[in-house]
Amino acid sequence: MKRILIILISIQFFLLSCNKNIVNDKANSITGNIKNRMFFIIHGDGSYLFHNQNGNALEADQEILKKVIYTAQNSNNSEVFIFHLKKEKHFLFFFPKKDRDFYHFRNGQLIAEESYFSKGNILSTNSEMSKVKSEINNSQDIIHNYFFYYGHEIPETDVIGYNSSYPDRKFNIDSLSVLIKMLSEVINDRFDLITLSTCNNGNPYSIYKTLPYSRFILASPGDLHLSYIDCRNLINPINSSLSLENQIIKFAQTSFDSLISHTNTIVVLSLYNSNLVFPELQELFDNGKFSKLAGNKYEGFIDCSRLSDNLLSPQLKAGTKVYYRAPMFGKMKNIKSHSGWGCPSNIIIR
Amino acid sequence: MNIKEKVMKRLGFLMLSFLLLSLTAKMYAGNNGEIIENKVKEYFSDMNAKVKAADNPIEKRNILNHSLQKLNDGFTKLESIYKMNNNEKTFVNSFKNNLSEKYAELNGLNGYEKVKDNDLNKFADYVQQDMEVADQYVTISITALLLIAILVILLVR
Repeated sequence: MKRILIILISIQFFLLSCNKNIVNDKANSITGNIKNRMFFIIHGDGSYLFHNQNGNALEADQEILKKVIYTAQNSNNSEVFIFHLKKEKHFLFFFPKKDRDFYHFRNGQLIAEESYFSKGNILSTNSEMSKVKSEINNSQDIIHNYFFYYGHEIPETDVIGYNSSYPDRKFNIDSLSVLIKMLSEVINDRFDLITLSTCNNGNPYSIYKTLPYSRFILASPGDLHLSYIDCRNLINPINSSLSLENQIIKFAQTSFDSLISHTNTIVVLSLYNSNLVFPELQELFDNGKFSKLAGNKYEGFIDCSRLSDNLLSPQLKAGTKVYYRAPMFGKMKNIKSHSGWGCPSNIIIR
Repeated sequence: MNIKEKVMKRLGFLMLSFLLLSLTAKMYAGNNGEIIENKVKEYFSDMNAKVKAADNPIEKRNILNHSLQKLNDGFTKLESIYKMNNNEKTFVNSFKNNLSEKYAELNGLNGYEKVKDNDLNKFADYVQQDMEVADQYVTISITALLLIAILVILLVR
C-alpha cells in the first residue's frame, strides 16, 4: 500500500513539475531584424468540434493552432507568442494534466515551449504576462504589433459556462481588454491590429473596450463559422512593402475571400479604424446613448442599422470597412448590405 | 480471514468504488454541455453525408425533412417532460424556431421560396454549418442538458 502511495505521489510531483523546454539553444542569438510581434490566444476549452467534407470529426482549436504555428514558422522578422487554452484532462483518472500550452517563436524558429496550469481564471493573466515579460525581445526595431483571439463569442457580461472544464469561471470582454491593456504596456505602444476571431464581437461595446489599445480591429458583427479568420493570410502582407493600413486591408480581404469560399452561411467582417471610430463610441457611451448591451444572448445579434436609421453616425460608418456576403439560404439571403455593426436585438437605445 | 476482516475488506472496497465513481462523475460534470453540442453537430454531419450520398432529389429532401422534424420532435418531447426555467425555455424556443425556419424554407412554406432540387446538397451544407456555428448552448443548466442528451441519443437516433 505504501509503495502504491509513494508511486502515486511521485507521479503527481512529476506532473506538477515545470516542464519548460528551451528547444533552441541559440534562442538568445535569434534576435536580429525583428520587425513584427504577434500574440495569439486560442481558446479550446469548449465545443469546437466540426466535421469536414468527409465527415471526419475535427477540433477547430487544434486546426487553428496548426495554422498559427505555420504563420509563426513562415513570418520572417517576427516574434510570435502563442497561448493555447485547452480542456482539462486527467492522467490515470486522478491527476490533472497541464491545460495551457505556450509557444514562443522568433524569426520562424521555436525557441521555447511550455505547458502550465490555469489558475482560477479563463485567462490567468499573471501566468501569461510573466511568460511574455520574461521572453519578449525588447528590440527597438519592432514596427508592428498584432493580437489575435480565437474562440467563441466573448460575452459582454459574465456568463458561466464559457469554459467547458471550468463552467463556473467567468469571462467577458472586460477581462480580455485587461489582458490587451497589459500587453500594450509591455510593448509600450498600441497594437496595430487586434483580430477578434469570434462570433458577434463586432458590436459597439466590445469595440469600445478594445479599440483604445489598437489602431485597427478586425471582428465579425455576426456569426463566424468555426471562429475562423485564417491568420496565414497575414504572412504575405507583412512581408510586403505596403503601408500598414493597406497590409491590414489586404489581410481582411483575403480572410473574407477564404471564408466565403468554403461556407454557405453569412460572412461579415468589419475593419474598424480607431482614429475615426473610438472618439465617436466614447461620446456615445459617455453620454449614455449606448448602454452596456447586456441582454439575453439567445435573443441574438442583428445589424445595428436595422434597429434604427440614425443609430450609426456618419463618423462610425466612415471608420468601418465592411466585408459582407449574404447567406445562400435563410431570411437574410436577399439582404445585400450590412452596416458592419452588430447589436443585441434587445439593445436599449436612448 | 475472520468476519471482522471480511467486513473491513468489503467496506474498503465500497469506499474505494465510491471514491472512483465520485471522481469520474466530477471529471465529466463540466463537459455535459460540450457532449450534447457535439452530439447535435454529429447528427447534422451524418444528415449531410446521407443527403450527399442519396441518389435523387426526392430522397435528399426526405432525409432533410426527416432530420429536421425528428430533432424538433425531440425538443417538443423535452418541453412536455421537463419544467424549464425562462432561460432554458428561451434557448429551446430559439433552437426550435431555427429548425422550423429551415424546414419551412426546404418546403417553400411561410413565404420562403422552396429550395431547388439542385441546391439540396448546398442546403445540407448550410444547415450543418449553421449548427456548427451555433454558440448558444453555454448557459443551459446541466439537468436540461442531460435531458436533451437523452432525447438526442435515445429518441432521435
